Amino acid sequence: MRPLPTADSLSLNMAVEDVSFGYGVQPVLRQVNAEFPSGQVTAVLGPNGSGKSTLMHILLGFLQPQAGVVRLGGRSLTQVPERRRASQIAFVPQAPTVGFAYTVEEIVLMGRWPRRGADGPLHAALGLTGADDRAAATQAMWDLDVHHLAGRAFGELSGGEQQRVTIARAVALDAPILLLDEVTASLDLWHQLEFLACLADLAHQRGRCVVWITHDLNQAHEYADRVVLMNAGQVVAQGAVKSVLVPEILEAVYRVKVDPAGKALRFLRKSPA
Amino acid sequence: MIKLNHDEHPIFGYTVSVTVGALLTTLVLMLCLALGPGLPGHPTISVGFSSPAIMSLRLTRVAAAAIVGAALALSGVLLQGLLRNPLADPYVLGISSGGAVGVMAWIVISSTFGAAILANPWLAQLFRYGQTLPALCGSLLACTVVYFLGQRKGQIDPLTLLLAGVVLGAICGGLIMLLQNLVPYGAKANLLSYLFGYISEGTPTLVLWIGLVVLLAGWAMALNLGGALNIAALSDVEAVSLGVRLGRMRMLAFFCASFLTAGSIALAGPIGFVGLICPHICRMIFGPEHRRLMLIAPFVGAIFLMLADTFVRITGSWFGGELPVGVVTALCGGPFFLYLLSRRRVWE
Repeated sequence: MRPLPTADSLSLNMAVEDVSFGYGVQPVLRQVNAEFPSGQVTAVLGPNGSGKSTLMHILLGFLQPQAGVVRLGGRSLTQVPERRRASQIAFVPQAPTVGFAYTVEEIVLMGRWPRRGADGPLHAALGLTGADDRAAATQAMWDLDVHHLAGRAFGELSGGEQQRVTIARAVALDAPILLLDEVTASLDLWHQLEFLACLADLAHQRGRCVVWITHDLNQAHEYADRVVLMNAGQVVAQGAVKSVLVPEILEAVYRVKVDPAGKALRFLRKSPA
Repeated sequence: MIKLNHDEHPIFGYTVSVTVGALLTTLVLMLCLALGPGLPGHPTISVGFSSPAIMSLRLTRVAAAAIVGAALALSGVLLQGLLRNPLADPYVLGISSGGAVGVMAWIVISSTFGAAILANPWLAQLFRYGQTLPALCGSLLACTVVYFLGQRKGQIDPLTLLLAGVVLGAICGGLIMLLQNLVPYGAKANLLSYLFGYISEGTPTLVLWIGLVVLLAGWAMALNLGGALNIAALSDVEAVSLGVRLGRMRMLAFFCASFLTAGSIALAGPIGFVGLICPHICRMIFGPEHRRLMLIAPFVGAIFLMLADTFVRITGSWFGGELPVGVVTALCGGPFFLYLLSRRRVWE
């Protein structure tokens, strides 16, 4: 992966205030308050079923909170028109699904859909992407190391390759906010480290607001700036990594015991030759 | 896959597709106009343009075949995209069964109250259009019912829509059998010929023009929805995150497909296979991008149905009477489709 070009600093933050949500009568989120500042990687952690993905679906406007407000740069998300919201928030799902045999290039170009129609009225009527969009998609395919797969059908790829294509689709949009739902799970070690470095770069060099759901506490410790720790639909703790990822809190939330003398394998990126 | 340079210069690629499609369609139309049956009792085909009266009848029939073929192919593309299901065809939502119930009800009414209807000049005027109006009413009624049953949380949901359509189709099947018992024996042949699909020389010119306008309007609307349909092939969450208004898009795609199907059912009855295989053939050759499919598939549908109907028209004397065109579309289209299926690389 090549380093991202450092240029504009599109920055926008998100926050949820007293957000509650439930499917039917079963509450999933209960009065959640959390902040997702720009220029930082915020890891959202918590056991299965703690409401992480639901919170992300609310952040991107797919689910409407039953109470409370989602704020996008200070404005209530419900007041932001769909297309504007879509061009400001990029999302990578946990398991990408595609209904027909689209090529990788077509899938990545779909990420530019919110910016469609820039090349003229006929482009706008047909919802076509233009030259800028193709350039952005090509750049994103290079960044995520999938450019060599451009002409292949998405369904033919391995799980990790599909995941990288989906990340490229989100990166191609170049949005100020990036929401990632357990995206490193199917990546191999090298691609994980490259991707996480790219994530940190997006936040620190380019001022993006990155929200990252993960189960890997070690990676969160290493790459995140902030942590929002959830359990049973509530935020248990949030703040700087070192203040939240401490044995007392983790033992209570995850029902485990932290081994004080534990030695884990630790991997680093090779410095470029 | 043939790309026709769509990716680098989409508008140029689309223009080339439309020009080539229109030229080929015109060529096939001329060919179909020139072909006619031989003398009764002789297995020959006459080639050439004959008297204006005969040509006018032929033109009506070939034009109707082109309009119906294009509408069915376009409706198939829309419904396969909307339902995210390559097995969907224009009749999967019970629209054809609704049309059949309409025709059946019309047969019952006309065989019971025929004399009274013909005495009234207004009703008699409506009767001139034969099965067109009842088929249209029945199809549109079925669409409306499926639309309201196919919703979840106030929005069209592809799976619920599909289930509602299949169940409505079954209910209509029962209704047809029930109505059939009310019809005198001689009138039953009308229904049979309707159910196989038949393109008539007797279609009034006004009806053809209306059909053409509906087709062109549906085409323009479908092209406008094409980009959103591409994105809707992803999961709902991803589509919404990319700014697609799923509820609105699905409603428009549903109504667009329904009107095209209802119109073609009114013109020619439920002709099978065109709406299923034309989108498939185009997708196998040109890829799944919906705008490209929507531009190409209607031409393929029009050409396919014009050829099938011409075959039916000129071979009438071989089979002791014209075959229903649905028989030809199934017998020619089916094996060709299976051949393509056996050659494809990726199962979608």
